[in-house]
Amino acid sequence: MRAALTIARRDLAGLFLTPFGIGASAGFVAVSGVALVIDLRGNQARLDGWFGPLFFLVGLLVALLTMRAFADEERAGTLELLLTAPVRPAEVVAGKLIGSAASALAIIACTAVCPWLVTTMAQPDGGPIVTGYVGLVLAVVAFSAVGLAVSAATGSPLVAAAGTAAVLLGAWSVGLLAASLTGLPKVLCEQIAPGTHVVGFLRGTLSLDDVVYFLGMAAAGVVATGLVLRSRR
Amino acid sequence: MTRRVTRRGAALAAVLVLVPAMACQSGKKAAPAGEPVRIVVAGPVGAYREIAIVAGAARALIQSDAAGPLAPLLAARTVPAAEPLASYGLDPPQARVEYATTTGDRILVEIGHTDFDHHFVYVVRPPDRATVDLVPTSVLAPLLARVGIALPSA
Amino acid sequence: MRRVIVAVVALVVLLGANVVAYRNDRQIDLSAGSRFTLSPETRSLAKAVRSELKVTAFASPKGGVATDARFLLSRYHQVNRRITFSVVDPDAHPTQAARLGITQYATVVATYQGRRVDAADVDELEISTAILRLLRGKTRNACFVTGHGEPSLDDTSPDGMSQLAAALRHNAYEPRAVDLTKGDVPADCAFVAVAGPTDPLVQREVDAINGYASRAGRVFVMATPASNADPNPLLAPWGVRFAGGLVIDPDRSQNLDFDNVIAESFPSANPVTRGVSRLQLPAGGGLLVDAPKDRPGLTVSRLAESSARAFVETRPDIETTFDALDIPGPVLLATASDDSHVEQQATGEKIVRSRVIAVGDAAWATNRYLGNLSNARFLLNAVNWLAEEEQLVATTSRPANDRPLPLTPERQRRVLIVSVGVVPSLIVAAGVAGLSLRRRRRGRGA
Repeated sequence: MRAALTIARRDLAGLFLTPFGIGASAGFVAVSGVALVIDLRGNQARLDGWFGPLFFLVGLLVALLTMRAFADEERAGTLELLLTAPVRPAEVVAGKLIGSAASALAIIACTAVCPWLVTTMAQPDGGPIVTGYVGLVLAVVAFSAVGLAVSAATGSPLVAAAGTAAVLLGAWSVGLLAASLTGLPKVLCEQIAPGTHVVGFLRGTLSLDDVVYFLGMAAAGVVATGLVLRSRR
Repeated sequence: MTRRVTRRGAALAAVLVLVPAMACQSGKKAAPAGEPVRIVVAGPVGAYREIAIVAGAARALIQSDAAGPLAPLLAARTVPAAEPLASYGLDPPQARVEYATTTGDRILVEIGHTDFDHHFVYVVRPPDRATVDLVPTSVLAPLLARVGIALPSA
Repeated sequence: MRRVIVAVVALVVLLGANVVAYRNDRQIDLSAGSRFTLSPETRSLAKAVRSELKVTAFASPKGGVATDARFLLSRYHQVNRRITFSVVDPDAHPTQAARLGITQYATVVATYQGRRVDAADVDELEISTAILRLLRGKTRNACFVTGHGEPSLDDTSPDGMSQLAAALRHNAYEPRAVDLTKGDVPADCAFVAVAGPTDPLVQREVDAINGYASRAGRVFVMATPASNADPNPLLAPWGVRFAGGLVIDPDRSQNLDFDNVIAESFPSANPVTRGVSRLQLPAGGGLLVDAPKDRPGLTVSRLAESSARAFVETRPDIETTFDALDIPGPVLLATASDDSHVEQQATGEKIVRSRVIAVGDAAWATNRYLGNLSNARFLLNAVNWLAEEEQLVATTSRPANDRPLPLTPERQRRVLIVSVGVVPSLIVAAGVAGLSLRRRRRGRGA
């Protein structure tokens, strides 16, 4: 576990002490501010219209953060060093996941200024704010795991970022497809799409279905990353 | 290396700023009650040589002092035409507003019937018939009365 | 090979966990008042649905109402997959709205086995009540006394009451005209309505209605001042007197039309005024409570009142300013009388409950006004109270979810300055400081 934390710490510092990390953090918070203004056009002190786009944008953010995890290492020639070091693959995956997710979560933490601003102007329901952030944490972990698997499978950071974004966008799009279907195919499409599982968090509920979905996605990503790394080793 | 990551950071920031900016522009988000979300026909009245309302054989010229609500003509909502245009009273339209600009162009706006609670009137500006605009009934009712069309009140 | 086995096992576990979670509707609800957690009563009600029950909510896409509706209705679907739902924007789907006769946002239409019941709002209590009424499976008769110049239930003009009839039909009541000059109130009437007569009822009719009311009957009286009909023989036994005249309210009326009264005061906790925020009662007369002291079982609820500055003008044909002959405000505009007493019967003791609602106005229920403000809601609450269907589902009360925050230019500026300007700038400043510190350290190390 210590090895995993060392890898995570290195990745975390490597992000926030770079212009990329600084730009990403500042840009994301600025975007969340614009999203808040759009949300408040409904003239209601509710933040579901703000959290909703954030869930989507987090996918794009994670795609950019996780591309560095393996693909960047491979391009820089340090991946071989990492894989041949006396560290178990599980620790490498765990370290990379903690590093990527913690980076994204640190950026998301900066958006807390938006709900705070709303509380200074009105009395929003606190429940959906709590569950919104719980949902974002789960989504970040799940999306990061998917991003790691894609990053591990390619040597190009750009391909990794585009691949992760494509996988996540594809999953969101399946939800749109559900609208034109009926019966079991509709249920399947709805269950595959992250959009279906985000709604509860926006309304203030933590349902087993939604939590299991994101944890399951995270587990699938971790297993896939492990398998890809083993094959590369 | 630094230059590359700087470029990447700038690209990221640009993407993250552009996405919501485009969302702002799309106008799909709820606007405060009464705030117009779309300009169906731009103003001011002075930009038009003539504005007329036509319904069948009836035609009424709208004098510039009464044409304020028509130029600009503002919609409070825009909805996708989810049903055939006839459902909105737009196929055929019950009336048309014809604008003749000072530069010789013609603009046409087709007027349908009122919505379910009579607060708005459906209108389209051809050739775009994929989206239908909702203009407050209070804006169009007095003008349509001039060509003999009485809109149900809200 | 081992990798393939691991992948397959992982996939199976993943799918299994998701299927189990999908079938399980456990949740923690942190929303205010646990708005999205169905009460045990609602859950057992939803489970009792045996064939397809379709719920269609007509909601504005603005302000999150539609998304809340979709989420709440999905909870019903989760409990019983036979309950299906759709949320429709009536502006974008006018045909669907017209087919179901929708005239207001936030109307919910529930259909089950060919019958229909409407709910007046997209909340759990309203929807569950509608479902329970559908499951009960019967349409009850709403009996209207006719022949005295009442607005017709078939009249679609602004002065008619066709919309009232439609609203009743949408709520499992069948409006039916009754002639009480020849017989008693039919036994299958859920209630009897005397809606805006302009000619007097004959004594035979008054006796029939009073006899029916005293035998656990339900009567809805909508009086109108501009008439020769005196509703007092019907109201007096229930502690209410129609003062007639014309209610003038300079504080709460539409525009400068002071007799077009807007009632905003609902002093009682009677369920008839649940969800009623404002009533439009044009050209109405005032009511007075005059309950006899020897009737302990009789309670009269003051349903709606005018503002304190209002008054009943007793001589509206001559003048409309307050004088010594007028009745000062606040003027009582609607009442609900509930009389319960125990009667000895052959089978033992039985509680007999009579209910009478009186409104000093009939125009409010005509096509011109029924769709305005909360008039339709008041009508349906009233008939459900009369028919004792007002509390079909006991759910905990939910706090209002309306949290207004007008986005003024100043507020918008503040949000943008802080979230787009200050915080990102601080992040950039901290990052640049960290970067230069690291470079300096590295420089020293070199």
